[in-house]
Amino acid sequence: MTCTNMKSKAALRALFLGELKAEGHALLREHAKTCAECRQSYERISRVESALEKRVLPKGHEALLEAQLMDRVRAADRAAAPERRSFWDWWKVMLPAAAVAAVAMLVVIPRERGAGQAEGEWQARSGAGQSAFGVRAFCVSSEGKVQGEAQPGGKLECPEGAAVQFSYTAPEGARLSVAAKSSSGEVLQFFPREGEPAPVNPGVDVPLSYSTPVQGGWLSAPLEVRARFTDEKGRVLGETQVTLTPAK
Amino acid sequence: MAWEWDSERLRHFREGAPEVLGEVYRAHAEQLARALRSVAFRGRGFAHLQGALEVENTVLETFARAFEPRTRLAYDGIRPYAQFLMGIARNVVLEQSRSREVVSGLGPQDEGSTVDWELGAAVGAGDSLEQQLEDQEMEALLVSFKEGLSAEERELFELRFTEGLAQESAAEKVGLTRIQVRRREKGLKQRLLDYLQARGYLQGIQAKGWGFLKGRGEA
Repeated sequence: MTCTNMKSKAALRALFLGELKAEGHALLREHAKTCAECRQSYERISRVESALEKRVLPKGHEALLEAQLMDRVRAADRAAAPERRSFWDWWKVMLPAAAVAAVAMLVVIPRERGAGQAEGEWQARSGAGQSAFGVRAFCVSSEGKVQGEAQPGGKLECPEGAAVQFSYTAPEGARLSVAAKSSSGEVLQFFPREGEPAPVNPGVDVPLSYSTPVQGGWLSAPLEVRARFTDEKGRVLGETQVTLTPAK
Repeated sequence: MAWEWDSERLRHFREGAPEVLGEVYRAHAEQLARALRSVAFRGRGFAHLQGALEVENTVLETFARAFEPRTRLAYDGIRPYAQFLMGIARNVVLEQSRSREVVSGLGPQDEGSTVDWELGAAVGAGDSLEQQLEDQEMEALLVSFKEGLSAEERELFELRFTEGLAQESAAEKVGLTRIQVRRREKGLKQRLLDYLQARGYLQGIQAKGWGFLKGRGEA
């Protein structure tokens, strides 16, 4: 059983001499998956380098993997971007209807907190898993132009007359509540409009079904909005916050 | 290796700033590789991680998942990142094991529940006898090769390949320019390759001449 792939043999040599580029390294690793001979050579080269450097992952290999990793990260970031664009397209169409609905339904509904609700509800998450639940907030002018955006943990300025729109990312179906506590202690519930957390489907950057007009002075001071994802039994799956501030 | 997060670094990390992602990767890659190698000897179904190629594939896959936009946002900057990373690695390895079991027609095996997935475990503690013997053979070959080098060459060899000093630092220590170090280093690596091949090691790689896989823009 002799491998006749001279490119791989050359790549193995270049790997040992520290001359292989990331692209060649990726091709070589792919080839070695199915070629026992080249895989053995790869293992032996790695063994020599590991013995020399006293490392499991020789530095040269670490650097080659880093370059491939960054390529994948860039690709993943690019893949995520079109979804945001499609959201804007959707938004341009939906804003007028959403704004009207929002005004009509007074989406910012103060909600009295029950005596049993502990202050802990507003504390930073602890012991959360590795899931990627999150909420982003957007400030949209009355003309439908997006004026600002905040990532989870970020800050969003939004002036009177504009509207705040949230989108969520959930790797699995969950129940979501988005709410804030004003400086006076009043709870402002953004989603759902009232009542218990509402079920949401899994998705990335899914816009919530209505926006919240900034009017009536509810956004006169920084407001920490917390989004909490829970499962059917009320266990917290993820929690993020966005700070809304009035535009100067 | 200690790794400190501050709010600025966390923000850049979440935004996907390449320089911060690179820092995080370099600070944790070797540690993760050591942990994976260690796991290979402690759980059924993970023997494939004894190989360098599989460890590298798993390291790459783990970081690729850890650096996905949503996963970056999920990291809180409070708990140790190595721990966060190992949780992802565990899933990657279990998926690999399951797919191997399906391919080979085996039933469900160890789900990893009894394997210690903590980072930082000593590597090599459970090396197979075969691997230990091969390591000994390799060590002996390297010692023998180094004995054949001049004092200057040996110093450079140790600085660059054993201690892992950067070319600039090694050049300063041995009183050469970086270009000189690079040339001598290449010569040393070539001699080591010839030496190993002459003793029956690394036979499967091309003896000399290669031109297929140079980087873009190279002649």
